[in-house]
Amino acid sequence: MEKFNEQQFLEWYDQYVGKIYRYIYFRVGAAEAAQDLTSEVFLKSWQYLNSKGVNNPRAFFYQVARNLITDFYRQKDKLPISLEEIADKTFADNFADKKQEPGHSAAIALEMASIKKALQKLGGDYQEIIIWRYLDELEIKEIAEILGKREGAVRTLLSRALAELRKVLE
Amino acid sequence: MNEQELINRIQLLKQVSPKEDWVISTRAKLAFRMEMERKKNLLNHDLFAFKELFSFLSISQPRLSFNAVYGVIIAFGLVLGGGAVTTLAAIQSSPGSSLYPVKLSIEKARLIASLSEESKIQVQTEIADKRLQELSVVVASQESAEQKAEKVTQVVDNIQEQLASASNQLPKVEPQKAVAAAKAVSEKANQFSKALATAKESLPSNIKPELDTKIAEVAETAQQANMKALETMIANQNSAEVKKEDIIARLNETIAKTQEQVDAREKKISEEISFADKLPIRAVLINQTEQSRELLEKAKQAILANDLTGALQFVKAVKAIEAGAEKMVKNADKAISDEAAKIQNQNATSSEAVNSAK
Repeated sequence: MEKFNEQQFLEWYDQYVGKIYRYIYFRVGAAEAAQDLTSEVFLKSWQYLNSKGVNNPRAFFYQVARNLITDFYRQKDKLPISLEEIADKTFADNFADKKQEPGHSAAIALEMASIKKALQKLGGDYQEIIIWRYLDELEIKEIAEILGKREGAVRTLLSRALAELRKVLE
Repeated sequence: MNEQELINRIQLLKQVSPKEDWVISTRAKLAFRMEMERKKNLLNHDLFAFKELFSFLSISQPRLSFNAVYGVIIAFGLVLGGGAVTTLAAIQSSPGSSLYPVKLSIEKARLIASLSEESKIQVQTEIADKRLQELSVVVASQESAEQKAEKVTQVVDNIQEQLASASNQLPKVEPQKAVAAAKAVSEKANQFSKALATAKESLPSNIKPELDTKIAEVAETAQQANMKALETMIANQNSAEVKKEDIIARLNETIAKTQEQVDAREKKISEEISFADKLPIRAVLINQTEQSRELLEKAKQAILANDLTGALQFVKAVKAIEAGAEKMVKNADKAISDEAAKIQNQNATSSEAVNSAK
């Protein structure tokens, strides 16, 4: 087990905060909630891991994030917000901030909207596995660790998720 | 749509990222929470030691012992409770302050949170401006030379880090933005070189020889940053943002500066290393000077022939020769002082021998 100190933990924060935020953002559908939950992931992880070691910090952060998302919906007593419900304004703000060329920005936004719509039609498990594998670039082994499944089962799930997404897009 | 095309489309969503300010503030909160926990643990751990420390009071004055322990706890409480104020104070802190390293850490966090190489260079330029300002305040202050040297060391260390990191990021910047970034890095490198020369003059030469070495190192880093910037500009010479005249002016300036270094070294060889006539190193150094001059001449010709890449290669070759020669001169200096000490000893022994013979 890898031992760590405050400095190491902050380095993990720097490395993973963007990915954890994105994962939570797609799952909860609101930037503000995603920010709160992401902060909580790191605070809770620090409290839990303090003075202990961890084999795979990234997988651990995702596990904490997953549990927090479950709690979030349990407390709020509502169903996961579909990706379609993710405020377009947030996306617009996000890309306006980046000062990209208007044409380029619009084309990307359209393409993103289309893939968002397709993703929102998938089930939670399919959404999650696609985000982990292709956005956050987790290894199959890591996804298996987070989900507590065998690697073969994860591959099958991923392949079904992709097939479903392609079907929706087409 | 094949699988790869599908994956490429999914990966467009990678552009969703948290806001930089939020990333920075959350990191600061996390770091603060960690520090608080560490202090609490320390306090718990040290409480027993404090009790032991003040136990002598409990024998005669039990109430005082109680007060002393609680006094320490209150002091710690104040330290722990002052976190937010501390962060604000750190941002305003200046070199020499105990909060200055915290300020550098906050800046580092800001840098890490920058999402593109271009914005990283932008943040680094802002940090560089702060360091320049701090350096000028330290140099103009009425403090003792030692205090100044201490503060200059703190600033110079960070300057070196910023310069090296900014110039290393240059090749990663998108081509259309690389030229502007290269110009910014080059401008800062020049400003630092001038500010460091002023800082060096403001300090007595005998104070902190290691600071002298550090300043020389940073000057070298500034030169390297300048060379990388020039390299980036030449690599993008066909871009609309680059003016050929600007590159040529910068190349000529670099050639002139390098020429000055070669001249200075030649002078040093003829004046200071004349003693070492017998050392083979002198011949090597003279040969290197000739080589450097020849290459600089070729660089000038390449500019005339409009071969800017070629000119840059010649200048880089001279820089490499000069860096090697500089090391050899330093070694020669040591060899000379050793030789001088040896001769002095021999003379002293001979005089003693003559005196005793008399």
